[in-house]
Amino acid sequence: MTSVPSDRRTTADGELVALALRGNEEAADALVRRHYRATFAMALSVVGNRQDAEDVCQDSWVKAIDRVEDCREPARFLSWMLMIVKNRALSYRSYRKVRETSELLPELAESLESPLADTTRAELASRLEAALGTLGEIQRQVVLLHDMDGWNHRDIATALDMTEVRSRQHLFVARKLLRERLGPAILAEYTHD
Amino acid sequence: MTDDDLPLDLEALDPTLPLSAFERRLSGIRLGTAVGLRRRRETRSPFGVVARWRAPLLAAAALIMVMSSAWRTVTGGDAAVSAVAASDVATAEAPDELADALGLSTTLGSALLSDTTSAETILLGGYWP
Repeated sequence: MTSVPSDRRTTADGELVALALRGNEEAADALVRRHYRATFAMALSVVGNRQDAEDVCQDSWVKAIDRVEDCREPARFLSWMLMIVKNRALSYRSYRKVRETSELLPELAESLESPLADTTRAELASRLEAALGTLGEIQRQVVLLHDMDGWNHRDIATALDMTEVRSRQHLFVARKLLRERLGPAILAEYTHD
Repeated sequence: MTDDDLPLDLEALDPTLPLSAFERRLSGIRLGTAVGLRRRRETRSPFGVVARWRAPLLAAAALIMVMSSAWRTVTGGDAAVSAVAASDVATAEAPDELADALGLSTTLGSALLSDTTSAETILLGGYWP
């Protein structure tokens, strides 16, 4: 998980929000890079598939940057952002439409870069996606934020309005269920050690 | 420690991988936010402040034009022309007052109001016969 450098300590969210308010594109870009994975985790936990989650994320980020002055507490930008994503994802899930062919083209183009690697990755992703679909929404949020974006239980508890103990319980159950659903053979492909 | 305490590798779901695909998505977001961010930058400059008033000023000017047209239609354009003509007659009857107002001689005042006054007469200050 080192593709997007985590610069949480260098510039606070509040400062980036203040710069974005003045129209600074780099600050807006930094906010997106910093929190994209977390917002994706939230979207995925609600809509259940990656493509829809990507769409929800993109819409949410455009909307959030456009209305960044509505963020009353810039220091808590991520909480505000996650709320936007969650609401957007819930609406999307309610009014889901058949995706147009044109929206699928970028995905096809991506897969042309390295077909073999992308096919394997896509297969793994599909299996994980299906297994995640059997979990509850909160369990999905917790396991994605913790295991995909590296959040700790304190941050998860704050963002999702629950206790740390509850967060640990959700994570434990989510992992257990995912391991059962995926089976040892598939898990061998996923786990590093 | 059980297996369930170990993190799952969810890298296959990581939206920031592959990096090239993630950069394309970021470009899409940049494109979507570019107009809004540019507007924010512009509204902070002095030109931006003026630009912000451009639309209200144009709207006010358009409103004044519409109201003027309406007033002219109601009162009638001929009445206004008649009023101006009457004013001309009054002025023509008082060349001395016009000359005084312009700081000229009475002769030149009369000359200015006369249709037959030549350009030379006016250039010579009205003292040419």
